[in-house]
Amino acid sequence: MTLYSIYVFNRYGDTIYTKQWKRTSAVQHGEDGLVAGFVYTLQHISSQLSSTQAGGLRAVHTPLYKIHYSETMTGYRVALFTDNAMSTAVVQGALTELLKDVFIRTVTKNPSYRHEKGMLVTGTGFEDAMEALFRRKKLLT
Amino acid sequence: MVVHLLWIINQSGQLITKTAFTSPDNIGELGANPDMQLTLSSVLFSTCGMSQQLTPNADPLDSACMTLVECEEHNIHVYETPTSVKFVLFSDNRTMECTNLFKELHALYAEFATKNPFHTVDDAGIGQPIRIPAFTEAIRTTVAKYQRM
Repeated sequence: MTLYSIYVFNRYGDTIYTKQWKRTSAVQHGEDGLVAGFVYTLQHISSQLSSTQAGGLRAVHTPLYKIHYSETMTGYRVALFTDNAMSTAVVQGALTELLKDVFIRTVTKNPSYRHEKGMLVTGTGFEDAMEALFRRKKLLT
Repeated sequence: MVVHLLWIINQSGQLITKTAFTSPDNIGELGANPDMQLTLSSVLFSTCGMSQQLTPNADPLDSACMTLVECEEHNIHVYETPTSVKFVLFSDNRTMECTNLFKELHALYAEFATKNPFHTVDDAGIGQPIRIPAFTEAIRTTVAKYQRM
């Protein structure tokens, strides 16, 4: 069970948080924009397939890695890169909790954070709480 | 396994085959507006390229096209041949694997399209749709073997 990287985007498409774990390749310049475009595109295709228009993207499998995706109604999106062994259901639960609890507690309720274009998540509050959540869910060792 | 739709996308990202197996209602806007499938198929082609670029591994040879997109209501399965032709299947969200079906469809493609002397692969760089009734019929027969409602 390996985590490679995580990206958090706001509704403007800005990358407000990113972190790398066990990556073996260097982060390409502009990679966060590529990830944002990638998950946005697949999320859009998914909603166009849905008969209720609400159907969302959950995961993308490749032979070498897997991307898990979750989003809020307010437009915050999370893309988590893992190895293939990670269960979609388990990671979906973790990402839902990340957005419902950790993000609200450490970012939304942070009086110094403004939900504006280009506003990055700073400080260690979010990161520490996120890693504690992932350890509790056994995603991170 | 419930298969709703099959696309075959050629090396240039053009949709050369689309075959629906269930009611258009099952695939939302793609069913209501079939012309949209031309656009979305090239978008999907681009996202395949992106998934290769995003590989978080060191070896640049170790990159591969995405194989499965899990959505809330559907799964999108992608199979890429060594010649870069992509087969895309839209299924229900419980179907996690359909390698055998893809291999049979690939064999049909080789048999009916590649071997057909009247099938034009591309015309001045523009991929040509496969308009071979026997191929369409063979696809339907093959998919019917796997369909389980």
